[in-house]
Amino acid sequence: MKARLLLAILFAATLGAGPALAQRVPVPIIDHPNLSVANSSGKPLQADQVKQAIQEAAKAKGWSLAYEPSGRILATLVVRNKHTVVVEIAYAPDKYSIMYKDSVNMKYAPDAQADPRVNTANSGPNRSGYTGGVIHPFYNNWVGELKEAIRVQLLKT
Amino acid sequence: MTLPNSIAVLSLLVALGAGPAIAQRTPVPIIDHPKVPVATSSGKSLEAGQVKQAILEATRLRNWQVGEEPGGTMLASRSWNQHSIRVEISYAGDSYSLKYRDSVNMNYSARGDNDSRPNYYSSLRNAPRPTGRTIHPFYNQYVQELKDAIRVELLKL
Repeated sequence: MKARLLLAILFAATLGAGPALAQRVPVPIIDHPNLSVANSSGKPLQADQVKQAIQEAAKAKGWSLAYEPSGRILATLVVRNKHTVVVEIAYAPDKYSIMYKDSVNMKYAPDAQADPRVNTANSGPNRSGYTGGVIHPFYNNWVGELKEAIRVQLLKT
Repeated sequence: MTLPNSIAVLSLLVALGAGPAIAQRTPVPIIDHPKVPVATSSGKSLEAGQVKQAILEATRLRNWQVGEEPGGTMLASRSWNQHSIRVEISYAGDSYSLKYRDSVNMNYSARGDNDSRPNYYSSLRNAPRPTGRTIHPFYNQYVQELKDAIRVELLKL
C-alpha cells in the first residue's frame, strides 16, 4: 500500500500539474471526542500534565499550537506548504478530545451529499445516508498519528 | 476513484505526453471574494495590522509573493511553470477582499470567449456560455486556497 501511494505521488509529480492529493475520494471526517487519559503509573494527572503531553506530541509530529481563551488548543499542521489542517483539542485531567476545525486544500465539504462521489464510489457498509463532513483521507491519517503520539506521551507521564 | 485507477489514468496522461499541462480545461467564471468577514476563534476584534499580518503569513505559507501598493492594498502574485496570476488584497480590522488583477498564460478572457471548442457549452445541458470574465479553473482553486489559508491564520488570533 505504501509503495503504491509513493508511485501515485511520483506520477503526479512527473506531470507537474494539479495537486498531488487531488484524486482520492473524500471520506467521512473522524473526530475523537472524549478520549480517556491513561498513564502507566495509574495515578491521576493534573490538567497541566495533560496539556504538556499534548504539547510534546504536537511538537514531535510537527503541529504548531495556538491557545484559545476558552482553554482549548488549536493545533495546525501544514504539509509541504500545500495542505493545512486545523484541529481543536480540549482537555481535562481525565479526558481529551480532538475535533476537526478547519482546513486548506483538503477537499473538505461540510455535507457528504454535496460530493456525489462519496456515495457512489464507496461501497462501505455504513456509507449511504452519511451526511456529516467529508475530507481527503490523509486528514484522518494525520490526525490519527497525532492522537497516537498524545496517547504515548500520556503513558509516559 | 480508487488508487490503482488513478495510477492508470495518470500513466495514460504521461504516455500521451499531455502537452502544456494546463491548457485543455474549460474556462470558468472568475470568482472574487469581496468583504470576507474576519473571524477569530476567541471572538475578539482585531486591528487592521493584525489582519495584515495574518494575510502575510498565509501568503508566505502558500508561496505567494506580496507587494504593497499605495492606498493600503496588497498585490499578491503566484507563479509556476509558465503561468502567473495576481490578486489584489484589501483589508480592514473586520474584513478583507481578494480581487482578480491580472494573469499570464491563464487563458483569461474579459468576455468569456476563450474556449476554443465552439460547441462545448451547447453540448452541456443547463450550462450557458459564460459572458463575463473567465479563466483557467486553477485560478479559482489557488485563490480559494489562499482565502482558506488566511481564514486559518485568523483563527489562531
